[in-house]
Amino acid sequence: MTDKLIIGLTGPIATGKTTVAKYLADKYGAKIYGFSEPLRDVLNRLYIPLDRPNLALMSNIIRSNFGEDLISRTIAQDIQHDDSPIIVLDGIRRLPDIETMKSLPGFRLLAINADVKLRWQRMTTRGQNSDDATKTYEQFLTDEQAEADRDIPQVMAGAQTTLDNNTTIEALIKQVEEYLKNNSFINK
Amino acid sequence: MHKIIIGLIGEKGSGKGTVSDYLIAHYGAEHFGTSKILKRTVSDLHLELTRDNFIKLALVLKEGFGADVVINSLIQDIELQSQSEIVIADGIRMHDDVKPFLEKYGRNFYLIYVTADMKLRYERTKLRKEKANEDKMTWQEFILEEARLTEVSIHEVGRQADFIIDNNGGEAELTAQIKSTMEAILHQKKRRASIKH
Repeated sequence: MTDKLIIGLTGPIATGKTTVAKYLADKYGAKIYGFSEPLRDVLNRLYIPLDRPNLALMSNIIRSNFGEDLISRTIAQDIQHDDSPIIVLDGIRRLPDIETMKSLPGFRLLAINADVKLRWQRMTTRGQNSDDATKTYEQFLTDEQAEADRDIPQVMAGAQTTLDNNTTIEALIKQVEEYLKNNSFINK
Repeated sequence: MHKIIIGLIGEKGSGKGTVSDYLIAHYGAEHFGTSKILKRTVSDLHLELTRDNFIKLALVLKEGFGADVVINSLIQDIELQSQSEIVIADGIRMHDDVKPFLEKYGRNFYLIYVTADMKLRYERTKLRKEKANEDKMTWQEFILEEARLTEVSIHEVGRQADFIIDNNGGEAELTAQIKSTMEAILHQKKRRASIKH
């Protein structure tokens, strides 16, 4: 499986990571792995509301008690057994997660960025988490400083490519196509 | 009709499982346990399914999300899934575990404490092999397990239970006590229902 492309997506809240992941899944049959998926499962199991503070708290207590890299190791194991042509890791937020993923052949880190005000506006309309719609701009800025998201700028700094999502979805998609070409996935 | 919720509490090897099985077989009770909740949570995280991981996970979840997080999930499971008129709630260990049941079910909640002498419980755990390597456990190791905070509180909470089942005798004695306990519970329920009408 040497040609398998493993794309780690990183970027701040509501920057377009899930949009890119979904596009790759729909057009190229990419398989999406979310870093928060196991945490969402656990929260659901315990009937705890799926909001951002609870996800962050769950992530913190699981990582500090069962190992900083527990979730990334689990996902890395799953990926190695996955034959999909493209694997997308949605939402890499922490430096230890990058360390685990770097060891996988074909791994590339892709960052997506957009203006903070624009991201806040997009978030309030999407409703990915139960508390997204009602968040004020000030709360949004506070969220970005929370422990779960603090490493993101550092993680982004390590990306080989950064996509700009300040305009339209079409413009973003064009950059994704370009990216796939440059990474010899298309027309190789 | 209100359901009867039976909280079962008991030390390791006390016969709590036997009592539960009897209630299922003879009273149509339905079993709900925290161990199932913790087991699924541990598998969601792809952690090894060991007793240590269950205990650790329960403790860190309580620390992070409040002392009643696991018990509240158990109550939610009961609310959403139970079909029977008699429900067994298994996994009560601490004082904090009892309160949510009293708040939710009031006088329809009964706590039954199943207990036996330590030496006898040790012999029984060696025979049953419920968990890996349990049969190889030494007396010393058993004593150490008993000293864990989660085990010690079982005695304390158990002493305040509505009913105490002494399982130091044989099967016949145990069965007789289960029957008289259930008679008392069902009688109370019936009497209360007739007062209301």
